[in-house]
Amino acid sequence: MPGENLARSRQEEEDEDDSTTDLSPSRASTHPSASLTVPFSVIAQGAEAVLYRTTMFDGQAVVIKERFRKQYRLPELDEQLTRTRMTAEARATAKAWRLSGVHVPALYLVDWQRRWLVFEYIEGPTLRTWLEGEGSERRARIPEAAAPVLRQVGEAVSTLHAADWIHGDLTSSNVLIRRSGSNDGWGEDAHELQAVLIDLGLAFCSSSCNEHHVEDKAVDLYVLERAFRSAHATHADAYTAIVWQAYAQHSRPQDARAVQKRLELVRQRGRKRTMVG
Amino acid sequence: MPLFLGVEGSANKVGVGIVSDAGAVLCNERETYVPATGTGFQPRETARHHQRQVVQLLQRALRAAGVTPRELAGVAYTGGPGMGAPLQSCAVAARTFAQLFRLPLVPVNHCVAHIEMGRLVTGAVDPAVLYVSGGNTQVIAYSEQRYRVFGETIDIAVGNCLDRLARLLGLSNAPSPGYNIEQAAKRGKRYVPLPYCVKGMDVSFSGLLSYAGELVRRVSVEDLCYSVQETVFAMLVEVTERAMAHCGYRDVLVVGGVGCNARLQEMLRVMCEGRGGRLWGMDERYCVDNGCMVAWAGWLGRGEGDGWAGVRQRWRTDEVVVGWRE
Ligand SMILES: Nc1ncnc2c1ncn2[C@@H]1O[C@H](COP(=O)(O)OP(=O)(O)OP(=O)(O)O)[C@@H](O)[C@H]1O
Ligand SMILES: Nc1ncnc2c1ncn2[C@@H]1O[C@H](COP(=O)(O)OP(=O)(O)OP(=O)(O)O)[C@@H](O)[C@H]1O
Ligand SMILES: [Mg+2]
Ligand SMILES: [Mg+2]
Repeated sequence: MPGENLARSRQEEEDEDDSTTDLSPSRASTHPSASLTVPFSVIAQGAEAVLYRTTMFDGQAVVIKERFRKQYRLPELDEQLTRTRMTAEARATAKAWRLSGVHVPALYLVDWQRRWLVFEYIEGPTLRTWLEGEGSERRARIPEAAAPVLRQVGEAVSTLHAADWIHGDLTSSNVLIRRSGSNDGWGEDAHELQAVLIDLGLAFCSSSCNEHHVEDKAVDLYVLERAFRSAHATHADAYTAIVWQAYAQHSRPQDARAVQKRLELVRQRGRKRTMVG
Repeated sequence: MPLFLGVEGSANKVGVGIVSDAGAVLCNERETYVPATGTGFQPRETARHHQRQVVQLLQRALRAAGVTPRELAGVAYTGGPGMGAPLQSCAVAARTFAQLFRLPLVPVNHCVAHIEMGRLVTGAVDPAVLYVSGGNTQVIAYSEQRYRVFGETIDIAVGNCLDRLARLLGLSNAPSPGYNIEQAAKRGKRYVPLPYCVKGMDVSFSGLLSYAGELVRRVSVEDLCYSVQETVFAMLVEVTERAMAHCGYRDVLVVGGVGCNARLQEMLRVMCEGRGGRLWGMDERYCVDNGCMVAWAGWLGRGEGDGWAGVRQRWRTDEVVVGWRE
């Protein structure tokens, strides 16, 4: 089994290198997944999955996204949701991978038994932490400095939408930033940075013959807008405007107009919803 | 020891509570308007109920706390959001009371009051908040002087969904439809799959409700209640967890009437423990609308007002400047 081979090779590496202590078996024994028996390092625990970092047989860094069983919900519901989400994420990632101008991690493997999707590892921060800024004072990144990356997000979403795909969970935690050029550090020269979309488990296809497709696209953008407002309050409006502008410029004018009109309605709905029914 | 009195009446409950500046609850009196089985509460009837009850509730509250109006430092009332006529009735009562005894009057946002009472009762310091009631379904976290809404329902509130299901099933509205669904669900055995609708951090219940409506005579009441609870609560836990992962919270505080449901609390507890955190929950006295929460939020927000003392049917949680928190 590849998993065991991987475990062994990690183990050997570890013996030589103390800096990889987070890969130690003792750490693995406390991790929340009972089905995983090999020592990998946990990099994140999202709402749906635990993510581990490891390497493939050829040394390529990968992440394993394991949708472990959620003890809080009924097993039959858990089973059904996990299947749906894994299928959606695998399909949408594969689809997006082929679209030029959209960056997603390469999908390497689907393991239904273990509930794993294995992706290319993306080196770099999430858009969320990147926007929050670095250093001890942690000042939010000013919109001008963030613009090149935010524009890429707008364009990527526009391309995805033009292909009738809806991301479904566009937040700043679901965009990774990697270096594509030669500059060092994650500093001000944001032109060298590349926005990578991840977490397509809630993605779905909404074709233009479907009456909801404009609504679906508007809601996709609205989710991002709200994620900015709730997590990056200071510059939320400016961030949103940059994403929108890039989205609109990159879309067909009539599509952009339709989505914009709908987006206005979706926002109104949020504000005007009656509180008692 | 300054004391604050609060009057709540945004929906079908009318309540009066008195709290001290230190957060001690001196009394918590409440009356509920219970419409006939199979019907919901209408604004006019509900307002009439509150008008009839509010004076004797005020008297009862003062008696229970053993204080006179002159010992109070101020009066708070729910300014919104909620149903216009019931809100108005209680605002009039609070205004009259304040003028009679020359007390300062503070309008309070109902959602913020739910959250602040939850923090007071449980001692949770900075949790992610799940606010689930008949009129609201929101995932909230505090940052920079506001309670920010991360996720919410895109159509009806979860309590509203349960209340309407209870009506379809002919369950009683006393003490509350949600309570009766909870009891029936305990006897449910078979899980019937229902539409599960999560969009990022948002949820939607209207599709599930109409689907459940079609199953009414084909599935037993117990199994349907059980299946609906399992499905809608799983949706709520998922969006709560997503907001937590997004902003790095470990603890959850659940407030609002649906928040006293034991199964929902259990599911949230399991989820929190899986993230190394904990759940802060309360029982029906403070989860369901009450006067104390309004009194306490009024005390906290006493310095914030601009003299406005009206009612607003729509008043979003994130519009309130939370000047009393770090
Ligand atoms: N390919 C990757 N390379 C590097 N890090 C990744 C990769 N995929 C995910 N991550 C990290 O793991 C985190 C969670 O991943 P992901 O969003 O896929 O999980 P999730 O459980 O679906 O999250 P959510 O709570 O949004 O549903 C990301 O925010 C990111 O920090
Ligand atoms: N044990 C329970 N399980 C599930 N739902 C319950 C339970 N007890 C009460 N509820 C539901 O809680 C709701 C009432 O909650 P609450 O009093 O907080 O809010 P409300 O009157 O709807 O006002 P608002 O939305 O403004 O807070 C009703 O929908 C009721 O059915
Ligand atoms: Mg994610
Ligand atoms: Mg996800």
